Amino acid sequence: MTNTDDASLDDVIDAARLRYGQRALFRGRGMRSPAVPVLPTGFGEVDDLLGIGGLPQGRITELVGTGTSGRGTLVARTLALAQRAGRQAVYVDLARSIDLDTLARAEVSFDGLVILRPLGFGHALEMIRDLLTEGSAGVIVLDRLDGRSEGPERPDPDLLDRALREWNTLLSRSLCALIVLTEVLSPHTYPSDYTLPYFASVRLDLAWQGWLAPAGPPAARDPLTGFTARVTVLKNKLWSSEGRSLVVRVPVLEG
Amino acid sequence: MKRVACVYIPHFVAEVERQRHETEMRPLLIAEGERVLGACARAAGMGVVEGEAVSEAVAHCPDACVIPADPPRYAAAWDALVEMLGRHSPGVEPERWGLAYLDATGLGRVYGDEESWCLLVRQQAWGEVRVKVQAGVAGNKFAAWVAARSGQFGPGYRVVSPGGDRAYLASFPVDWLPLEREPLRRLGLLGIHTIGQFAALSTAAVAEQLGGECLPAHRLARGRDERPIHAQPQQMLEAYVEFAVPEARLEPLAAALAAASGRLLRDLKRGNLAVRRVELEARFADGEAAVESAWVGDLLAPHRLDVVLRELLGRLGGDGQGVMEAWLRLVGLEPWVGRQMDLFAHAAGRQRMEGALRALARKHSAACVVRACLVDPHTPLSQGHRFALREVCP
Repeated sequence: MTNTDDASLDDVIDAARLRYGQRALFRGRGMRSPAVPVLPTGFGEVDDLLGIGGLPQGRITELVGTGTSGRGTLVARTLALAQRAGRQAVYVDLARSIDLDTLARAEVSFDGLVILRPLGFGHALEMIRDLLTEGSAGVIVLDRLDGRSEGPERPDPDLLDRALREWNTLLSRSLCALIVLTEVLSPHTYPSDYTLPYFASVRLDLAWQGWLAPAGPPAARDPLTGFTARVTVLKNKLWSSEGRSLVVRVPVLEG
Repeated sequence: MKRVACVYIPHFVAEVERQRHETEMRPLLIAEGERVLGACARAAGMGVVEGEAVSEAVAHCPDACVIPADPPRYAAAWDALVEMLGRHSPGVEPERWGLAYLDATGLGRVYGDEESWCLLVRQQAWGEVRVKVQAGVAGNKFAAWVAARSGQFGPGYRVVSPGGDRAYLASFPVDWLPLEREPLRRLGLLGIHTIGQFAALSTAAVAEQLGGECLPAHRLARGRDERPIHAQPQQMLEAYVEFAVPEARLEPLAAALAAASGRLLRDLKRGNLAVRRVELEARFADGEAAVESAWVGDLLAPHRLDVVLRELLGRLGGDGQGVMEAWLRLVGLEPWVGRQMDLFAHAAGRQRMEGALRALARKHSAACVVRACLVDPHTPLSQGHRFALREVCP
């Protein structure tokens, strides 16, 4: 391609972007890593795995897994690092299971942490919408969306879908990172009527792998030093890292 | 001899907006709330002043197109420009949007001459940020600013020969000096209209007629401006690797780059600097070049750099062509300690959040909005009394 052709193509691209938006089309050779502001997770390997350096701001991130999969530690560290960067942290304790001890050990500052205790699922969605509308929260954690229960306590998928549509618009105008923790037995048992996988920009699956014990001969009452968890990228709209996984060491956080 | 460069974009905000509104033929006014944040040259020529009320501005310029301001966009464009300037000077001092001073000492020898440097900076600013910059090089900040400002008449840049600052400034109007309205009025009454005429006055006469506060401007008029350049810390570190034989294998490439990055990592560690982005540029045997980058946003340890490098090398492609040359750049350096100790910068955000929480508590009941606090750090976990939850007052 000659320089003249190249310049003409640039003009055409500029004109198309002017009409259809900056993200309407890209030239392959000019592609860079997306300039997405992120919150580091405190797990360098996970940040590298995501390719963008952390969990994206202005978007929805879903962490899928069961108990003892490292979700709590990952969220706690993310909150602590977000607070250090001056972000206001909000924890929506829908499941009434907030682990303050883990948060404190991860050095989350309680002065800068707000806990919302909604009365039910619909109430939680409404509170999050109000927070996003106001726009001052830097990171919101929704703990948690139950993908297991089948009874009347199961979140209404239609309600969730409507809320997600609204949140997506509000988030796109802010730098707030919304992290949703979803409890499922495995990614294969994820409820098919939830639209969260569609709206989330990043989805990570965390699964417990094994315990970590101190090196040396086993003793009767050896304290565990942590566990290993496999982190798999189920979806990443911001980087081509889908399907990749790695095993991270989740240490027992020292008090 | 000390040389200072000035990069000046007279209507920076409007220039950035012009990229989005290229087809808009009317004068542009950028409004932030009720005030004018920026105006294009045409609007400014019709009497619009930045900072005045939008209603007044529209009265001056009735056919203007009023656009709501997008400050993050302007800040991003300015950051990109400063980052670009950092590649062409050892010290950059961004004074405000649209005005930056650079340490230009010795740049003439590096770039051939100072005119070539100015041309390159103008071309790259247009290529990367799509703004037209005016550049000026002189012996001090004021003369460089005047040179840059006068650059609009001609090729877009001016270079003042070393030692010629006072003579160069002499022909410019005296109101280009930082003088208040009253001294300017009195100078006008005295028939002093140019900087040269003002410089010819004795210091005692200036102090007696206009007051001691006009003496700094008098020094500027005489080509004496001792203000140093308060350069930002170097924004980028770069390492260069050249291969005698084109290298297409991942392991040797990664090893060579890791070896070349040793000095960069030492500099980072010594300065306790965090890195925003790692950029890798490679030139292949067929002459093609490719650039890949990855976000880091943190301290950079050797093992982490190794992971990032392998990722970038994997993405470079090159269609099997070997790499002849590679540049590894650590971009966006900032003090890590400064980031950690940023205690007061977010007070406004916190206040806003408090307001939002009170509103939330009023709407949804105070019991739904709580804060945690440590009650007794020595209580065993099993008793569950270490922490307490306290409601936020509506």
